Amino acid sequence: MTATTAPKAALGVLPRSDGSAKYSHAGYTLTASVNGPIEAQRRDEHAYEAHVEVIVRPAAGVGGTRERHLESLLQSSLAQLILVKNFPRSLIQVVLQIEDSPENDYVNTKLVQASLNFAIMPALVQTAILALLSAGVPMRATATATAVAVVHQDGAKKMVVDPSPREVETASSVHVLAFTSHNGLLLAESEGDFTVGEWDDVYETAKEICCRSTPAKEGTAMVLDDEEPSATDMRQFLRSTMESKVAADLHWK
Amino acid sequence: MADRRRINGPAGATIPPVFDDVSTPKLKSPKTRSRPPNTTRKMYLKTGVTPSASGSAYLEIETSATPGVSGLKLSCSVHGPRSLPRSAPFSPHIVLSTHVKYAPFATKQRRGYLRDPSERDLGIHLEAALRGAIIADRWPKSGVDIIISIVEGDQDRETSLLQGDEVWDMMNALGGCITVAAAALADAGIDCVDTVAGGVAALVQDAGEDSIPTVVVDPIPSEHEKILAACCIAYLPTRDEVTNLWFRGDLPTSDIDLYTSLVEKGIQASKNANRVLVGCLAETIE
Amino acid sequence: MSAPTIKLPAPLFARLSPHPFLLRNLTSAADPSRPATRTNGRGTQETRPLHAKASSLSHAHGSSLVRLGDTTVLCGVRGEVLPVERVPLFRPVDRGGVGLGRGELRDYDLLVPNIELATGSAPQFLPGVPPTALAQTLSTRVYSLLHSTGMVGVEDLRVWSKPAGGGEDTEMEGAGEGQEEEEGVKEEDRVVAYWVLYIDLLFVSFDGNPFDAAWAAVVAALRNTSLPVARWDPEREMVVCSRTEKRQLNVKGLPVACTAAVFEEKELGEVGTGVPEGRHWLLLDPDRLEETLCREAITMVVDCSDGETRIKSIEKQGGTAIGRELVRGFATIAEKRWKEVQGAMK
Repeated sequence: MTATTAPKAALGVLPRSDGSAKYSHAGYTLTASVNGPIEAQRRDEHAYEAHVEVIVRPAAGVGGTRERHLESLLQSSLAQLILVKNFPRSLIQVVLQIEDSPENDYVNTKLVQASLNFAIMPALVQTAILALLSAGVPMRATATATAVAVVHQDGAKKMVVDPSPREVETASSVHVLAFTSHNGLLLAESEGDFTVGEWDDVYETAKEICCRSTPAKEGTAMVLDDEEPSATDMRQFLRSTMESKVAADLHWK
Repeated sequence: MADRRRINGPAGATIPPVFDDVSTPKLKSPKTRSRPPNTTRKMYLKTGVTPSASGSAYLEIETSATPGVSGLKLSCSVHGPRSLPRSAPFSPHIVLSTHVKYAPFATKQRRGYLRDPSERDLGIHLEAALRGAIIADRWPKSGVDIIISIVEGDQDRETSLLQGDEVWDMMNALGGCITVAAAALADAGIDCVDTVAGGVAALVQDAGEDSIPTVVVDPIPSEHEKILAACCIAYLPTRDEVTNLWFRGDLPTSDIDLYTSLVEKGIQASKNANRVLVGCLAETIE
Repeated sequence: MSAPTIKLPAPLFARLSPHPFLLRNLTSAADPSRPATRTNGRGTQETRPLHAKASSLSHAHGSSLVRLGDTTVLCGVRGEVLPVERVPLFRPVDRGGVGLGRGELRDYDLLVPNIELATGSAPQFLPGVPPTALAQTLSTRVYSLLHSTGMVGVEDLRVWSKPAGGGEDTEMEGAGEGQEEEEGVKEEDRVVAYWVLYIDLLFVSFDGNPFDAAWAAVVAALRNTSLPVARWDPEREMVVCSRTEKRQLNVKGLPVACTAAVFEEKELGEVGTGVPEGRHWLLLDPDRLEETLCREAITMVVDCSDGETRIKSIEKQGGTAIGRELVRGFATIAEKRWKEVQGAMK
């Protein structure tokens, strides 16, 4: 399995766009570029707010209906985060290029045309947020997302964070949740077969990853010992990525 | 090239089911017409099926007596009159745009989502038929969209072979399209000089090659041995005017009057349809 | 000195400033004890009745007509045969073996749902343009849900070289077909073809909540589907279908979709604080006007046919007003909706 434990990110990888980010986690590698605010096309122009356009490009081939669906999900979420009213009649364009996705080792993979790929959602959200931050687009809040699969194995129920394609296939349900930095539930996508109770457990797990309390204090190390090592703190990750970027940009001072 | 804006089927083409004709006895009765030659089928017309449109109508032509033969089902919506887009050139009168589309499940063969030439053909004939009825100069610089979905075509399900009936099916479809569009236009409150309705008449040869052909109204291809010619007429009854005439097929040269009688029968069919249309509209007003 | 009052008829007011119009309706101060009503006269938790009529088309193998208020959808299911030679990367399956189940449906694209909105069903959906993002999204959601719920079993779609249950006369038939040379597998019962189900949805009229209506139409049409019994004709080397015999498709469960939109007091409101600012209302089964004014929406698909409420899918997007408690509470609402729809499907 290609799942790496810690996410990796780099900001400003594309020199010609207003902001960009490269992100890799759980076998997915994505690059995002953000341009904006730029002039909007006439049909997209909105008198009171900026139009947010999201384009998702698959690793191979051209986008199909599945990409449109991912785009519409991301679009509605990002438009809530960006202060769109600051830029009336303009356009903020987010382009996400999927570079690499984990191979399914067991089943011969083919270009599945329309089925939803839930596992990629968190990576898309994270990359888009990083690129938006890198472009300096004003936002109300940042967001973090994670994917959780509920796997029934030998009669026991198990939560798998950042599931591999194989795990997604065998899981009884797969969930993607995104939280804003104010702990609001921004996006919730679930598929499979589950109960309200199970969803609640998933919510807890996801919230633990996405919104762990305040930046690193001395207590963090202790908490980490109890957790599985793979459970990364996404919000902390976002913060440290930004911090290191700012530090690098300002090192001449 | 697969359409990437739709969900496509498997890469390898699929085959519509092929039936084994051997094992089943011939179910089909000999081709006979179930109605007198000058009677049209019953039709059902209703307006206001699409409340979000300016006007709409639904037409259903009764399933004929033969089992397995479906009736025609049409749904029409009218949007407008609305202003033409800025890019369009100035027009002193209303611009009609007609659009006829078969639903994918409307016919024996699955239809694609893209319009094929026959559907475009229907659209053009429909436009011609309606243009004569609408008082077009009341709305300069505006356009109206007339969209018809053929939910179910007029086809025999049992005939597995294609017998070149599509041409005649198109005639029937056009007749229905004209009537349903007229109802939807009236529902939308667009001024017309009269209610236009479509009617079809055909010259058929029912008893073998050498028999004398007869003229019938509202033909169903599966009920006749051979259709020699057919015409679809859009007719305004109070003005006694024909706005569109579509003729296809071969007429024997021996009889000059045959053409006239075919047209007359078409007008008769159109008058029948018009009675239903007027009745439906009167009912809506009440 | 009172300003001159202008009286506007309600539809015009709704057109000019829809947001205040809906807001005023919901907060009519006349009687605070009265529950809030929407512009369409419904209560916030009130759905439109769903009417489903099966088997309305004669050329399709299964069909349905679903009406949800002024939203009308027509669905036709048509089966076509896909011979295995035309399947790239085909993996043989043996009878009795479970095969790959879900994998086959997905890998060979045996379910093909498509939604057509551009039928003039609403002023914004005019024909002659490629499918809008909404139509594509809806198609993807239906496709995804069809697979994840496993409503259609792949066993129903397989066509075997030998008729089912005919294990004994294999020898006899095999002897007659001595000339068949297929790398020594002539004796074996194998899958020769698959049925591909084309599920086409046509919106006749559009008045909001397209997914619920479309999904109900898909379920109703699939429950109505019967495919002709198909067999392999070794002489013609093709699949032939019986004219008289038909087999009903086994459809597992009855998943029902329930959608609600969140209407916020503040137009183009601020979000992200965790606690929603201002008041907001959860509008069940939104219509076209409400959909344009709401940014956040939740769709839950539930199935209670086994007695227990199983959630099949949740899709919540576009805002933060719906938190954990609301999602939990929404399951109860969806359950109620399931009962209504189940009644309508009978």
